[in-house]
Amino acid sequence: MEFSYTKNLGIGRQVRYDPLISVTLIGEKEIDIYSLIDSGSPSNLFSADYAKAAGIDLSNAKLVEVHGVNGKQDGFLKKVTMRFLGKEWQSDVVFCERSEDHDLLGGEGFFQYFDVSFRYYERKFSISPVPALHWKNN
Amino acid sequence: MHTKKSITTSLPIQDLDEGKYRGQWLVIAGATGAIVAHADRLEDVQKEAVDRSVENPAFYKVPSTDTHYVSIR
Repeated sequence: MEFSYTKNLGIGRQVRYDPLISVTLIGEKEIDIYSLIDSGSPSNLFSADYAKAAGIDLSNAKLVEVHGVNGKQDGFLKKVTMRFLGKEWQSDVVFCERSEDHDLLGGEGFFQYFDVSFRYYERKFSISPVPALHWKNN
Repeated sequence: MHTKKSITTSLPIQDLDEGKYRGQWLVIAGATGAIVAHADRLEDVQKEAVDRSVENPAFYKVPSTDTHYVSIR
């Protein structure tokens, strides 16, 4: 499926084009989250507020350290169900404070499951599910 | 937030201005990609989405800084 980059007048007042997509986080409830596709991130990183909104219990999550350009912080690693393009999968997600950065879709939780092709020169990108994997649904 | 199975939008966010909304939570209308509400807390924009009967809302947290981006000026 083809997507358009989001034109974004950034905080520095410079126009950027960001690969943002809406994915569904599934717990006791569902919530759709616009997240930045980031091949440089090893995992999906979401604001802990989304876990609370989706009814995902983090009390039994694994405590991890998240290191990024804005320093180090604690995070909670939890396997949760996600949905995108009609496919559901079990994804490792690190829930943490995301006030200074975007929610991110990264390697293990997203690129492991989807083929992503960027065509920045057209401000377009395409995403398709990886066919060989066993999805939670079909 | 929805209890029924959502229909995720494939649209980009329209007229996104992170300078205007820095640090805030946004509600995006699934049918159009338009920003329909903003607030300082996720709970508040969720309530706005319900109050305004926004169909298939999606949520977006605007970063408070752009220090994670490489900028060339």
